[in-house]
Amino acid sequence: MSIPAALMTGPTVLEPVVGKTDEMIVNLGPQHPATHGVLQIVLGVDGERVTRAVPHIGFLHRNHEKIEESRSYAQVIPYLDRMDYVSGLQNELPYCLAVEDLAGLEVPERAKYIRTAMFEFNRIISHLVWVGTYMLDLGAITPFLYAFRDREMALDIIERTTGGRMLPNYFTFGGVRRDVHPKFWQDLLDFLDYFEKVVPEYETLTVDAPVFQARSVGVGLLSQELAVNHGISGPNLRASGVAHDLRKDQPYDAYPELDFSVITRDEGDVWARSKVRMDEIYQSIDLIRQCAELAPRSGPYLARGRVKIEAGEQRYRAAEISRGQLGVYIHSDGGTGPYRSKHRSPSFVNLQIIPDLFIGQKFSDVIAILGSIDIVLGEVDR
Amino acid sequence: MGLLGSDRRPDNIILGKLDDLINLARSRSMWPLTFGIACCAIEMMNSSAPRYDADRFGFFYRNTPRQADIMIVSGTVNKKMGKRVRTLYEQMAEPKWVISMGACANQGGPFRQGYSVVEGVDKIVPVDVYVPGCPPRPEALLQAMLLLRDKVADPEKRYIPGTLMEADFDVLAEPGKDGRSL
Amino acid sequence: MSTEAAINLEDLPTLRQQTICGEKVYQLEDPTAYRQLCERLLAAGYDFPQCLSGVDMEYGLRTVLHLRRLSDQAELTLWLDVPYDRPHVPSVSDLWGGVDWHEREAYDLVGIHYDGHEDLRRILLEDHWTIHPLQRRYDTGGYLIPDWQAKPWPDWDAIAKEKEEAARKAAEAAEKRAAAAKAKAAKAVKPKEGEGGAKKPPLSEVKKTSDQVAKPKAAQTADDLTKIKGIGAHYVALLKEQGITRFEQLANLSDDEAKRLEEKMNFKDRIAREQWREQARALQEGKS
Repeated sequence: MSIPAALMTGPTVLEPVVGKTDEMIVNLGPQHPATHGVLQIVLGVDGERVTRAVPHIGFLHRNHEKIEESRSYAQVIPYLDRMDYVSGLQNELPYCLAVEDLAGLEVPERAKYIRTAMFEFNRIISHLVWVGTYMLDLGAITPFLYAFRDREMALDIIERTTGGRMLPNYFTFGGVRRDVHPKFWQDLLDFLDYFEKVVPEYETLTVDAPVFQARSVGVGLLSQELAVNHGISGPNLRASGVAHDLRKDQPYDAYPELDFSVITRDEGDVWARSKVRMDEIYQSIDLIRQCAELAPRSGPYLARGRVKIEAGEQRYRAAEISRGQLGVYIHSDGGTGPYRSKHRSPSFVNLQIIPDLFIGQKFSDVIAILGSIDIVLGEVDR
Repeated sequence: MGLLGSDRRPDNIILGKLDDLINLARSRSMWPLTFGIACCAIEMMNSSAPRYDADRFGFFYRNTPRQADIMIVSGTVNKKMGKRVRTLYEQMAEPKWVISMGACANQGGPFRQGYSVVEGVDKIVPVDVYVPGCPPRPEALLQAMLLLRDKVADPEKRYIPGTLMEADFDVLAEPGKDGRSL
Repeated sequence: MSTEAAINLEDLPTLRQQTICGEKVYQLEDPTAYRQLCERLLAAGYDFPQCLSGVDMEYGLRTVLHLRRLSDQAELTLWLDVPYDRPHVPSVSDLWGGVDWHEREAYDLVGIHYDGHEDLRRILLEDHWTIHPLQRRYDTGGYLIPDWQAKPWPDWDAIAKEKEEAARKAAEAAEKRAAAAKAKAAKAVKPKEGEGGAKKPPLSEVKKTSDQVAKPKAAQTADDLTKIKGIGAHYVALLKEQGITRFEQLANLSDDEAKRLEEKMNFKDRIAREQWREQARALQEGKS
């Protein structure tokens, strides 16, 4: 038995162009280990060169925005975790910031540092998944084993405080949901002491490895103008030489008190994007250490106050998560939940660039370029 | 174990059916399909990574459905993806088994009642083991794999080829303009 | 703002500017001017497209465009409302490549048509589907009904006040009774504690202020109420409806009056929280 024909109206399939050499249509996904989820790309290939690329998304569309319309403000937070499931905690922050703005809540000092440390810690975890899976795509299995070994240790620390491994539902309006584990800061510092010695190993296996460099230098060039015009954000934008980082440009939580600089590279190729991510791991280590030093060890972790949002108020807030600018637009009608909440997910916007990056490249570089953009399909489709 | 518990004679002679022997062999080397859909896929990756290491039970991920024995549906299946899930299942060679991982694949999970979500992958493919959790921990997936292994080796629950479930394709249709068609 | 002045916006018809929650919002009522405005904004350096959302406003569909200027990190919000029967908006995906998929998503889920978009296909749902699920009139068939929206917020202020009064008992209870009696202006006030009574202004004074509120003297010119922190253009209009246009009126509001005003205008507790009266008094003194 098979699927009824009426249901098989799939995405638009390209018609091959007959020219000097015949164009071949290659379908990538939605079940493909290197698409990091359920992404389909229909590629037109002329010999080794990619002539056309049409991405199809929506295979993981879970009607987040419709469900959020029927939930109260606090009930929305667990859904946010499931958008970018690789760095679950980070998704909650822009939404919490927006609701805090609308309701006029002040976050206590200690909660700010806890949130910032958790936020940066999740960046490390997310970049570890990127190292592992990206290198797996390119044929190296060792970095995957190393990265997931260290990620487990990091998840343990998050689990000790929040009770959840990946999707902890921890941030809330005006602070965090519960106090950190008594040994939280010590655990963090111990982990970082260990981890700092391991990151050079990753660098040897990735950005410093001649095999990787041969596949990545000069591949998938993204110019500064194109990146800005397409709204690309995160490491992809910074690797094209634009020093835009919301942690610096629109600081939230404890970032104004922390000392750091925006990491940029001018090359704009696959290697530069990888290098920026590796450097960001070091930066996150440094930022968490600063948080651990500055954070008050006692005091409230949650603001006392009520969330009440008047009719007609609206807010767009964004934060710099590991993939770029995650924004949320909340429109209120005075009810106990958002009238409309739209999520501007970085992967959704970053993925738009792939036809521009793919066309003219070698077919075997497609996977290298796609992996370097670092997308999460849960966030693309929402 | 089914085979070892059957008619045993001296000098290590075991009398049994060849099917049981084959099933025992199968259960010790089950190859799941690398088929991550959503959040659970990250925990699925974790289960084959260091610390959990599903490889030690003979679970080794294959990238193509032609070489796979198990499909682990790890995440929310929506109406657009439902057809692909069914196609992949039909592409797998028999015998084949399905693990439904996480609340979404079991019954829709937190995204239940939406306009685009299939409320349970068992409407499309026959499921052998359900793993609860959102997402389930890697240990839970390992337990599901071991349960499936026992099921495969058990002569009482022998796999009968060619008995594919009729899928309920209505669940993949567009909801009505003024409401749901379900 | 000097940067805002650099964009010539005067000749654009039906453009309104307002500040909502500290965000500068441009609202357009005519789609023809939208494209023109966007071109000028791009020329004025708003180079980074942040977000484009479609919102069903229940009287029409709204496109919300969030832009950012990377040179000085200025943010800008643009609203454009179109009616249900003519949901056509000019596409700006050729100006900012980043809104390309956002427009497709708004078309897919909300049903706004972006004229001039190169490839306006459904993006998340399947090509042959016809529903626009994020429209409010899309009936989910009994599921996902926003019942939370229908419920009003609990009146936390009242709850807190009740608790407070229960603790303070007699004195406060008497004051409450007196206030209730006064508001109704029916029953006789039962003065129990001198302290509680002294706080209240005499009945005649309350009447006088309420008369003032109801009928402001035409001779007195209106003050710029937006100078008070917390009052935006929206609230100025609301206050004007209640007859309040001058600092003096705000400053002289009694507790009772303020409460009634808050109830009428549906902004609980705001007058006290943002200290409108104190601010108004300071501004009044500064003026005179």
